[in-house]
Amino acid sequence: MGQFRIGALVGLMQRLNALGVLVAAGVIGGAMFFEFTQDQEPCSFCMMIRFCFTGIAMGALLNVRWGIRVSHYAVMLFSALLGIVISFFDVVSSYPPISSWGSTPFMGMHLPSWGFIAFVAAAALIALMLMFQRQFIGQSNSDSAGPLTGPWSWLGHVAFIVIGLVTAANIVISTQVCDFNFCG
Amino acid sequence: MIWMFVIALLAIIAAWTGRSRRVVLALTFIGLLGIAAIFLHLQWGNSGLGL
Repeated sequence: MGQFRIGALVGLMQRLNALGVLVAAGVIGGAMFFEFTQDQEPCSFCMMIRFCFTGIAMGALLNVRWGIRVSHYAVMLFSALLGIVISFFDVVSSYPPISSWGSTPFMGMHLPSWGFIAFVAAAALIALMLMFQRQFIGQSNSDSAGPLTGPWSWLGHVAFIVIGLVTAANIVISTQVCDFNFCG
Repeated sequence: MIWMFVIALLAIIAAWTGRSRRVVLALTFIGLLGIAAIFLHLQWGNSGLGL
């Protein structure tokens, strides 16, 4: 594979990572939509789940900003695995969900159940992206690898702004759920 | 919990402004480990799940 095609693959992966940031921000935004429109106050587990989605987005942002690296995918995978564990315990510890959560289900399932499915899907997608080994060529000297450039550079900027705003909103919401304490 | 989101926002700002990649990686891992610690703290003694 020529240098040009490797560069094209890296660019494609960076665009996909930027898209992944927007999807993660969309999932957190969807949870906020349910929170405000259906009066579903998030539990402390729910805030942890939101943080794990932010962690996935952070790994993807690293790929967008500093080029594709295995360590960036490791951040994403760790976040997804932590999210799987937390959302699983959120589902089983609240069973039966309808009486204990007092929330209306979305398409037959409650949000923590959707969170569990989303984290499993994210882990599968990250594993799939890791299979494209040629994106890591030149990684050892990729300190010089730049951010997402070209006509798609706006996508990286939008990803940064959107996840930044969502995280800022989560800081405000956290003060209502956990106050300034450790939480619990 | 709020501090973990503050750390995440700091990491996002650091990445946006092009600070050190290692600093962003460290902030992200601190946040994730913090969330894992809070999760274990909440689950500790929850006999129903054995954690």
